Amino acid sequence: MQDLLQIAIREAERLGADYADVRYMERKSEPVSMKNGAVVSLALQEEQGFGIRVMHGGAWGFASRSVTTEAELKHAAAEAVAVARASAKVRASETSFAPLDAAQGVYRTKVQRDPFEIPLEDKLEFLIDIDRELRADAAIRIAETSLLSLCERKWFLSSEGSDIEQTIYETGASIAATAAGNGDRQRRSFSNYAQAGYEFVEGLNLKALSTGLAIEAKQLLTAEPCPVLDTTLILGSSQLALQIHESCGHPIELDRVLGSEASFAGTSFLAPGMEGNYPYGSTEVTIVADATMRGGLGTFGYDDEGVPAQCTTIVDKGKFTNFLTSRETAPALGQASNGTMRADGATNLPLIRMTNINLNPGDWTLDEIIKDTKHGIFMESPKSWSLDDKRLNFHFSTEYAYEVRNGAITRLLKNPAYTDMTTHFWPACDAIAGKGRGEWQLWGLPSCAKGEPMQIAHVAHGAAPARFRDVRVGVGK
Amino acid sequence: MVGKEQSMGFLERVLRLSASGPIEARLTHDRLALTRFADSSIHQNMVKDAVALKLRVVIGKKIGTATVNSTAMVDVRRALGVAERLAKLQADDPDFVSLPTPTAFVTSRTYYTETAQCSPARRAEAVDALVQTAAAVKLRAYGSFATETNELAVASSLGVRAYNCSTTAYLRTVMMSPQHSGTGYADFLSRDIADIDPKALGEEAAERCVLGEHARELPPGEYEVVLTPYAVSDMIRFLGYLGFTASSMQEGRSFLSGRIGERVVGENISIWDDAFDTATLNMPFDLEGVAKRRVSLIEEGVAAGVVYDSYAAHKEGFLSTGHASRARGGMPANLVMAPGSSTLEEMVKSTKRGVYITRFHYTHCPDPVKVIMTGTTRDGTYLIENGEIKHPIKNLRLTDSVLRVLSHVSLISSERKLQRDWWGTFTSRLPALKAERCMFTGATTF
Repeated sequence: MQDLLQIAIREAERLGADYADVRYMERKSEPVSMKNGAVVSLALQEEQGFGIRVMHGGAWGFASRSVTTEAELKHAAAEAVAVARASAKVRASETSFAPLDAAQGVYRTKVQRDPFEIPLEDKLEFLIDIDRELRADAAIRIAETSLLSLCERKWFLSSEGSDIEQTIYETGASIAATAAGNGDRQRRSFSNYAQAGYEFVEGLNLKALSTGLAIEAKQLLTAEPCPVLDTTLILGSSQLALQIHESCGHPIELDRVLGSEASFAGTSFLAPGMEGNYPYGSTEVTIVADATMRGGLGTFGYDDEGVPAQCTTIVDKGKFTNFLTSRETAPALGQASNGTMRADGATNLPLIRMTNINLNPGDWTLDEIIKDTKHGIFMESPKSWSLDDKRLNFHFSTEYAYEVRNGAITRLLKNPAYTDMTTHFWPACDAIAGKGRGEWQLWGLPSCAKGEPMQIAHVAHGAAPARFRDVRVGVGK
Repeated sequence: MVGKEQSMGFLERVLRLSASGPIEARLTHDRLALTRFADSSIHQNMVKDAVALKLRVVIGKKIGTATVNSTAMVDVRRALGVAERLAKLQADDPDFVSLPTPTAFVTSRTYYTETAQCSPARRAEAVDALVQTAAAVKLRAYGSFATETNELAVASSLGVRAYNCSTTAYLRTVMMSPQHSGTGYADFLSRDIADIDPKALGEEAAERCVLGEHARELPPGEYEVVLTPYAVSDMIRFLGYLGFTASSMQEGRSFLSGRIGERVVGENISIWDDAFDTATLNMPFDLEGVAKRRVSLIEEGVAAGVVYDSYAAHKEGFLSTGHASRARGGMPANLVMAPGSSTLEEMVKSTKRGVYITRFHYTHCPDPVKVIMTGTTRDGTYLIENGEIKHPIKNLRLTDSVLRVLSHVSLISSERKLQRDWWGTFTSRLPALKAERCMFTGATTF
């Protein structure tokens, strides 16, 4: 494969490119989904292709193909150079590019059970079993179950001499119960994904979870709505993972900060120069971007520029310390890339993307936080999310909430929502759990949208329940 | 471009490979050329060329699916074998009746050579025109210019044969003042690149940006609103994917469920789906090769219907409306809202105290049945007082029911614009609206 891909690099160099890299990928996915016991989708999706990125005259060009032949590699290289020449016509200055030592390496997800080796019959039976559990009560009108198995093999070669091969496996599942009655509809769901083999799905304990989801969905039909008030908010681990994603992960992407996504995804309230001194959160808050941890959807050996995976501290005891960077953007900070360039397949350009953006565990247990709270609301399980184009003002709704009164969980609440500003919210964090067993969890999100054309990245966030003071809840019923 | 003859010839060979039962083969060939610019410089520039083949094999009342992005017959044979195996694994689906049978479709022009052949140099010229327009008023330009050629070919063993090649050109820009104290947006979408005037687009965005500098705070609350078609598109999006689909109706998730024939919004609101309207991204047929039909969705405020693919239609005993999408159940693709007789200027003039909204950002729906939408304004939000735009205001968070807003529309513009929503879910032909009530629940600091 490397010999074939070198054809594109040599052709780009022959046409005057100062730099070229080529990525080739084979991706196989097997989504299985069912609704009320019937198969909605049972498919095998295979794709392959390559993309060549060139720097010519201080400007970028990129071309990709789904068909990989010698002729297409040469044609795409020429097209990328032509595109770069056009780019150079509208440029204030030449693009600078942080130096990088050439890397030769191989990375492979550690899997115990290859998800594609599991018979489909077994997967269907597994989902049917969960479906039965979800629909055990007549109040449950819709039961949804799905499994995902994914394998990516990709090669990266550059004119600087990098030669990298990576094989990544992902698995995960999603289940949901929708109850109807009392003039209302309520949904409870669970999903999680990881870079792992089928053992991850087996370890999710979905059958036991499904019983609880169905009961909660039914109970929500008769629950009181979440009141509108300013109060103490305690977020469960999965909701906090999404909160981290939206109000920490996105604003620290340096390409957004520099305006690359201004017309679509937006920019950021952060700016170069704020790293090292800006108070992002309370002293309880430490956030890392860790592409090296086992099992995260944002884990890899090398990013799509050939930069080795790293663990970078983003917020250190409340103080903002670093952005997510690339070889092109890092020089703006006088740094080398911290390795976060990722593309959705070989046929799209790599962009700065989150890796595993984790909130470090605190020294509380959730039980201690509840006992320490006189009045507040506990919310969990994402339902909707919306942020402004600088990632300041946000509105989240969750599937369920519980009122906390005098140190104890009391009544169930439906249609909960909260809204705040990122700059108020994180400094208002005064307790993070994680001391208790299993409280800190890693949540895989295989659906992070960014870029034009829109690319979907697979990222992860580790979080334990945490408490935030003086947050407006219940808004937007 | 692969072309009709080659595409259909390939699909005929694919169909001949299957001996097991009804089969449908869908071939797509998409070429996307996209130039992105930021801070008045091109920073990303690409060409993407991709083919994909999707096979659906039916065995009894079971469907197996396989997708490959190769046209090599060795890959096709393997994919076919996979699809057959996946079908056999399943239990019968009692709701599945059949793949669609052939329908006669009406063709209209969807392909423009000038769009398909747009070079990177021409895209750079358009970007340069925007950059120069911005520079003339000391602004910086950001945005993207995309041209696409999309071939869609569908054939089935039940006799469906459909081929279409279409083009689109889409230029969008955000202009920003040096300290980002003001931003302004404009875009234009058409099948024909010749319709796009980069200079005019730049002037529209620049005017909004200059008008947006030094924004002041406005407390959240209920206000009258004037919504440009950019903003209306993000509201209509929720009706489109949450309400106007047969699957949401059949599962009781739609705001139209059980309400056909009832008033759901103001009587001055009519919405339909019309793929024959050449002012939309017109198409003769859907992803199953079924002829498009015009479908009335809301008629003078009254719930009128939803769109169907073959699966959802057969379930209710009738034929698809030609709205098969990637997800099962049907999805509108060419939403059109009836025009009124007003103008944006008249809307502003008739407003005592209200908010002018250019567009929304990252909207979401906490309650699909009530169609509660939440999202913040961006790129041109102004206070209207006594019939005039008084001054720019810091962006607000709107959280309200789209149905409630559309129940209080007092003015609708006669002019309509082909508009893609922020997410790019739909392209719709929409007017500007003035609504008497709209609830804002928060504000940003910029």
